[in-house]
Amino acid sequence: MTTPSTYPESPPRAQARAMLTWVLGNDTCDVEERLAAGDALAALRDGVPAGMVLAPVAEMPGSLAEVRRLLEDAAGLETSVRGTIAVSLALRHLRRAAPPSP
Amino acid sequence: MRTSEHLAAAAGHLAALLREGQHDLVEEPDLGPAVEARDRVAAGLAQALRTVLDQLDALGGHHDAVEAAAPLVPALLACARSAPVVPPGSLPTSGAAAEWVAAASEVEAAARQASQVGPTSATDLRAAGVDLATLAGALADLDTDLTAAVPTAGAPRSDPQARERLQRHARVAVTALDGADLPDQYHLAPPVLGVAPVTEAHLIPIALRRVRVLLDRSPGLTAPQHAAVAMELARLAHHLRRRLGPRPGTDAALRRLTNAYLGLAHVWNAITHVRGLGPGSWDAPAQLHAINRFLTARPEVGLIDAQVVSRLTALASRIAAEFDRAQSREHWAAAYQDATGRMAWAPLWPDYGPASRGETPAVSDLVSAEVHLAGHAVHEIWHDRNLPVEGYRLGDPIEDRRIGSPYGVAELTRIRIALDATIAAGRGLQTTLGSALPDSARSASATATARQVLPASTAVVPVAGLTAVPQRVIAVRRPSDLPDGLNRLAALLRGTSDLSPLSLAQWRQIARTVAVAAQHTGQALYRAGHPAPAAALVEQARLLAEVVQAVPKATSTGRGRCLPLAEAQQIHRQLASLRQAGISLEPTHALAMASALPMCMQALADSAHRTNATSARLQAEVTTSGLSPVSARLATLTWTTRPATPTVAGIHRVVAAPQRRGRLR
Repeated sequence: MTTPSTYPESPPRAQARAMLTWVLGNDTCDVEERLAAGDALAALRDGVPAGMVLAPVAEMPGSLAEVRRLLEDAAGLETSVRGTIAVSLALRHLRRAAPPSP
Repeated sequence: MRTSEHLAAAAGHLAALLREGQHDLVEEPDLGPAVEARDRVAAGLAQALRTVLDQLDALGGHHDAVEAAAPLVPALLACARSAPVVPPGSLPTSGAAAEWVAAASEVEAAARQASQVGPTSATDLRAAGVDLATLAGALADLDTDLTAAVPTAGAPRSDPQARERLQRHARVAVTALDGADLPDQYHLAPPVLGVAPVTEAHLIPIALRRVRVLLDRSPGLTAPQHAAVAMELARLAHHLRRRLGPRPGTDAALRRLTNAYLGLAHVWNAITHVRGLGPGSWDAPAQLHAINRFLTARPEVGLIDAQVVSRLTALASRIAAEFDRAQSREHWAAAYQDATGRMAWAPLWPDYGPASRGETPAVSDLVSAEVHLAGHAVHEIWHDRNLPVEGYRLGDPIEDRRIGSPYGVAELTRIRIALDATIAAGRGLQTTLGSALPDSARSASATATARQVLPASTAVVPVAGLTAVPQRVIAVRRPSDLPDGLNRLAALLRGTSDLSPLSLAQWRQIARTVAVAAQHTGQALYRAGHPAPAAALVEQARLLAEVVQAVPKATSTGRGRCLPLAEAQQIHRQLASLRQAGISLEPTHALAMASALPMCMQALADSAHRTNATSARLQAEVTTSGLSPVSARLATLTWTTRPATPTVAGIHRVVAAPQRRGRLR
């Protein structure tokens, strides 16, 4: 059986994913935030090429604001079209959950 | 610049739009250039993709990928045409419009470059195709933002369904073009075909019913698809809650349901040691997404009614059922450490099933046990007393070794608990809304128990003597599976308390399969130099065949319990394929089968005996249908010790002896 290889994820992106997973599973967080976290995780996962899997991450407490900062750092480190778009889509979901004040 | 560099530059501009949004487009003069550039991006992507697919097709050998990706071209063109034509404006002044215009220039340059360069390698073409499809998928989201950013009257509103189609086709194209060299085609997502549009509130219950059908029809969802379903259901429950207003009890129940679905989505996102082995289907999540998209766009619609709630809560059970079905089809693989310490994957086999799902969780310990069946310590049960925790075994199909995946089992346990929490929360909601279910009082403890159980999953304590009633059929795909199939058949028969004349035809078929298995096994053992057990088995097969012949055929008027018959059919198919291929059983497998067969025969006899002993009504039917002689004959076979007739216990002893002495040749 094919053993999938691990997707080479940048450290800030992996850290953002760890925080997003924590937010999604934490029922003390706001529901809108948890929905956004789930959408962002799906966007990051959809950006992984076929035959590859994301490395396990230990869930890490954090806020969506921290996640946004991490993903903005990660966006600058992405080298592929797919990686760039995936991180940006994740940021889009977070932006829509908490739009910046005008 | 090369095509890929133009695409990377375009991705940079579009990514900036995704990250920052397009709110600065409210300035009227910038709207025209932005919309025009959006159309240029869509048309440019379509042109470039068409070129790439043409060249890939010309190379040969990529027909499937080309065919899967081709619908994306018209979807892009439809998206470009779906907005009203806006007269070209002046040069953009806002950041968003400038990004759109720059992206359009890069995409058009990429399209020109692709058509001028001519054929290149398949790898490069596929990579370009993946990039183009990725950008096409992002275009749908960008188009949504563009529409939302300019909410003024008369602003261009593109067709949401066209965007939806674009996204679906983009996903299919990416996966089809991406998976060139992977031997397992598990990654190739099939196109979404069965989604009905939701344009009115009264269509929501119909769409929810459609979700149920799509789940039932699913070939086994993947983890991302399960996560997507859970997310969409959480969003739908949240929509309901916001529309319901301040009704304390219902509000709490809907919040609990939302949290349960989010918890399920969390589990599916957190697991890493379990993965699906098929492409799954995006139909169900897409249908749910269509409902949520309608509700998001129409916040004024009030939709809470009994039908919606009933169907929403019922979906929790359907998802769990889908998960169960996928297990029985060996849809899931789990990671384990091989002999060298490297992580490898093997398909999960469903083994002992859950405890009664309806019981209230009481103890929060996860325990496992080695169960010794006929001398083989092969079954591992994972059990949380009354919590419905699954037990699994991994089978290496090549070496027939049994391997365990503690992490995989722990993750599957988490999935099961999260599924149960959604079912419990759904029942709680129904109770609150007045359509009470009798067992809804249990809902409170499931989530709390789950929290207690999860930490325990890392500290598994082996205990002895656990038993469980199996609820599933083991797939028999190779001769080495036959002993396990027979063991499972015996266990399923033992769990059947309702053998009746109505299910007599089933009993007959099962008994015939067991007789044929005994015959095959006896012949193989004889060839392997074990004449005593061989003779006993052949004799038992002959006697059982006589019983089968005596069972009247005309009593087949009902269904009875189908699990034992399903297992017998698995065994029958394997034996038939061996016979057709002219292949004998290997001695190792024959010995293992010989160990399992007496239990099957005992279970067959017990089931007939139970029926006769426990039901006067059935007794009457038995008398008229002619079962009595059969039952008596079985009693002769199995419960009376006669020197001339081999008994199940006798066979057991004879078969076990050479195994203990290791005399197998």
